[in-house]
Amino acid sequence: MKLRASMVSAIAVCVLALGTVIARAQDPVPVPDVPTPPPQTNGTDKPAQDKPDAQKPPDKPAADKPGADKPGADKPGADKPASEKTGAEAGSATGSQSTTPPTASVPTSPTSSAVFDYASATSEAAYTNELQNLLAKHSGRLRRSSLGRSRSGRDIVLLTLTDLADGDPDKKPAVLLVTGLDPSFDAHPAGPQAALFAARDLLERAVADPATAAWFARTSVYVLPAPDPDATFEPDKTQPRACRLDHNFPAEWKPWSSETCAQGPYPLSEPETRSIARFLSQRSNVGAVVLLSRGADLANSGAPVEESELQRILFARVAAADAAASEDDKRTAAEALARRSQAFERESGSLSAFCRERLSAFLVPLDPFASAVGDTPIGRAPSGFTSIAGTIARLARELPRLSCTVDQTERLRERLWKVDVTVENQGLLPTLPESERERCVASVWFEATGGRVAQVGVSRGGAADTNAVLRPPATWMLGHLDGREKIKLHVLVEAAEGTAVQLSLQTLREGQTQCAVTLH
Amino acid sequence: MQAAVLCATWSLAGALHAQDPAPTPAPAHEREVQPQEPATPPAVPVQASQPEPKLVPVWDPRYHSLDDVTQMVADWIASGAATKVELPATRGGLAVPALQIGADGPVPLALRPTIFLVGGLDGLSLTGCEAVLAITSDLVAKRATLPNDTTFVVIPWASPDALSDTFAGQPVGGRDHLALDDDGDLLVDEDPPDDVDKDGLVLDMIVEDPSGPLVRASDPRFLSAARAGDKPRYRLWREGRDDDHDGRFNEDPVGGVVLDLAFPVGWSLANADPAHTAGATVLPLDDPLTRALADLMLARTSLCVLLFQGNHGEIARPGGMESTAAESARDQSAFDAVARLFATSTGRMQKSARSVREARGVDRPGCALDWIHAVPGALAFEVAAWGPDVEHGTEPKDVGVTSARFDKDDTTAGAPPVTPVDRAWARWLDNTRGGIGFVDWHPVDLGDGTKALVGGWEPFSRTNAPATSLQAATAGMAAFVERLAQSAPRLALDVIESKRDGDVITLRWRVENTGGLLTGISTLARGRPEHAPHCELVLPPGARLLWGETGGALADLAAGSASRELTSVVLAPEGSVLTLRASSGWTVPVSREVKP
Repeated sequence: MKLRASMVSAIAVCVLALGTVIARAQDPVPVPDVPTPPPQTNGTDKPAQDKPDAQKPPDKPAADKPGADKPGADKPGADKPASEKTGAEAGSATGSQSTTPPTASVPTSPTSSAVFDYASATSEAAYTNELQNLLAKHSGRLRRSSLGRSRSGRDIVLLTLTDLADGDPDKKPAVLLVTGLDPSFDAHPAGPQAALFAARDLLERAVADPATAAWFARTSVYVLPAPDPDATFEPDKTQPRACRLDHNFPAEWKPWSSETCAQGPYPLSEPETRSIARFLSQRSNVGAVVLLSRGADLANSGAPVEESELQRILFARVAAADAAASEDDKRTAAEALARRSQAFERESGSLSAFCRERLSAFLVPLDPFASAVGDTPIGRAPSGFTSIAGTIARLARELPRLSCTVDQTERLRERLWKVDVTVENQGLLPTLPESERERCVASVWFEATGGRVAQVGVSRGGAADTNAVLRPPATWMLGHLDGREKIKLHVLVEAAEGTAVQLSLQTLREGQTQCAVTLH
Repeated sequence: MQAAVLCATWSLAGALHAQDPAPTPAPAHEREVQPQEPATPPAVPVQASQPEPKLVPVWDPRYHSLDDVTQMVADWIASGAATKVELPATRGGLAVPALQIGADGPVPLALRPTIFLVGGLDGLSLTGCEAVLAITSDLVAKRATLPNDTTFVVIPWASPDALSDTFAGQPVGGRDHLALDDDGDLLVDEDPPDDVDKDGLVLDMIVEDPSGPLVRASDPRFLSAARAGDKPRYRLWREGRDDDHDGRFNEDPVGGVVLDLAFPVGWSLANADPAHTAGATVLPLDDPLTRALADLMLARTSLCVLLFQGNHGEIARPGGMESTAAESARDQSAFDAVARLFATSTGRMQKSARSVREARGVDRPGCALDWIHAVPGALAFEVAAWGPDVEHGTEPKDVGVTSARFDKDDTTAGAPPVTPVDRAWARWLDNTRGGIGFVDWHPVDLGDGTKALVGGWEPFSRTNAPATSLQAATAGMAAFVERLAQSAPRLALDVIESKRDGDVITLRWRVENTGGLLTGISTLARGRPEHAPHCELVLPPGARLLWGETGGALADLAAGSASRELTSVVLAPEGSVLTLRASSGWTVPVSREVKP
């Protein structure tokens, strides 16, 4: 009976906690959407430049129009970019970080030089040229590196989009944008056009919009435009492989498949998959992945979507690109996205499965390739390309990032102080998924300067207070935070009056923050 | 430990280069043709350049250090008996000695069906390493009489990082020297085992815990699963303090990956990956050594891979998990045939090959055996040279694990019974060692007020044989390997009828397996279909098939069996020579010319 009673109470606590998470997640949170104007579809394959209005600035986005349905717009400062916030709003004592994503406005193409045709197969020379153009124009926010070499010796190019002058890109919460490795067109993988379009879109927004620029100071976007460059640029000359790259990752890898040797003799037997897997394995800051793939050979199992409440909300947010759509349509879109994500993750040995298993990353698979080609402010492209940047921005907003607020300071003895701090995960994504927590003591921790921390108590809503674990010499492990979760810390500090104490909080996903207090 | 202080002694062997047996003369109208080059060049055999015959090291029954092993391998190569196989260094920077050996013959070593002898890939089994050295020593001595169509690739110390630690009496669970944060506290290798009682050994440690899963068994040397109401209860750890003060003992020891468990079949992050890796990556076959080993097996005609490790005393087939055990059970008859060879050669009582999870009593997801069986499609075995049934004392012979299962346990004290495996080991200890080799549990103070009991098996007792038992542990192993090579499948082309009537030739032919093992297992055909048995009739210019067959895929051939009969009626001018060919994944391709 005793055991049963304790189990019941444990379940009750879990349900309570889940309810709290869901309630938090469902709170009206400002989600400044990033709509890109619809492409000016001309219905032909004629290059956009041929049309007289090809370079015409786009219409003002709906979100910027008066009366637009902008959640949270009535909250003071809710959507203000960090750079526009007052000191009080930014939190002089709280150190709270702004999570404002790129704003809705699309630049009027002051910097756009659309020489790249996003709507047709590209040559390697054009691809290289486009990379050089982007680098030349956005050197402060774009870094090109190579993850390794393909079988034929081509660079596997990684683009890192972030404010390069503001911190280490690998120490910021990040989204990965990757072109799919699965056969998309005549057994060839999708080309780099969509990824390059999205990269340019994000970079040009940052030039035109201070809020986007501020967002880039705190977020990294990794872009893998052509993870299989041989097949992308010389599909007919590429040596036949022993396997398909999209079945060659070590996630649910099986030695056999219905397709002979598709999985390779062992996972990561190919230089491309090895390079990508190593890159991803060495980073903990990637919390979400946007996969650009047709998913042409995805098995449509018709299985019911298995998603947590948190995932349901996330998919709804990501899929809700069209604010004018009905609730039913939004729900349908979210479910379709969730189903597609699930199908990708279940593919044995796929990059998607690897990202899910290895990075515990939230996967959003997009198929922007099939949409109609039209003119966009960036150039002629399938209309689906225009929503990728917005999706990235919405996802980036939900990456786990901490804020902390000093609530109260109490003097207990002459040199002993109790400082109460509230720590919140501002994103919807947890600092570490539930499934990973058994193997990891904590995904949130802090260090203090200015005084000796003697003990730390942690209060979670609905649960008993616990003591944080000290990792010598001075790091306090706080456990894990769910999406939007708040915890209270009771920090006992030994220091003289007037001492400035600073707490530096950090997560596994690199969503760090700091808060300071002067003891008096 | 005893072995560490023994010094190396080399003994002399006889002449090295016995002449190869003369090839069997072929009928005048038939001629063996060299095998075709494989598509992928085999990995890195370095041909020795006609060295002067030198003294050949002979294995002596003691434990050898990595330096000793390196020297032995170098000497075998220098003697001209073997050629070097290059493997990359370990993550800890240690070189991995390896060689290949085979009788002189028409087919290059790299193109022959290969038997791999791999010692201690699990990082613990030094007895397995010694077994490989003992076998190699014998192979070198008998090189001239070995089958001249088989190659042996020998890697006696396959996980030098971990084996060096084990050899030094500081085993780290067989892990290599990749620095990992096992417990996810952002520190690396900060809570290793310690010699708390300063007796020079790091043993086991039990800490009393009301929620612990174990209790002392009826033989208090051993632990058993606690039943309801049993107390006091314990948790089992390696001997050591809670260095990082997290309430757990020795959960973040030095090192990272057990190479034997770094293979991709059944591998998962949950089993293999700590939360944080301090910049290191933990992926299957991620270290250069295991990857090179895998590539070498893929590049060769891998007939058989014998991993000498474990302490169950058996030869075990693949199956580190329930699913892979079921998969390898499809080839049970092939595995059993080898198990019988093993039993006959070593005098051990074994009629059938159990899966490795059954033999070890625990699951081994990601184990090398499962990948080797599934992908290269080799006959893969774990051969445990050491085990409780290997050495017998004064008791009747049948005192092994099997009979121990049926023993009546003394449960008068109310304590749970000893497990059959523990009981078998207890008998070995008591009957052959007078109880020496087990340190009784004794109290220690862990310094922070925590009391614990330290004790358990000494390093060279249960996991590895005492040095004095090495002779028994390795007895018959070389004979087993030699018989295995002699039993390898061998193809022959049997022409049942060959007659000419004017320009019309009638040919009835088939393929025979003259060896003692079948030509392949289910996974070979499934995973590498290009290696399925195949035969072909090659017509000379100007000839054409009137009806019948020119060959094709064949089913695997059991030992001593033949394929279905093929009939080919060919229109060919007088004097034409027809060529028959046959190949399979485990044999040297054969060819026969027929001139009816």
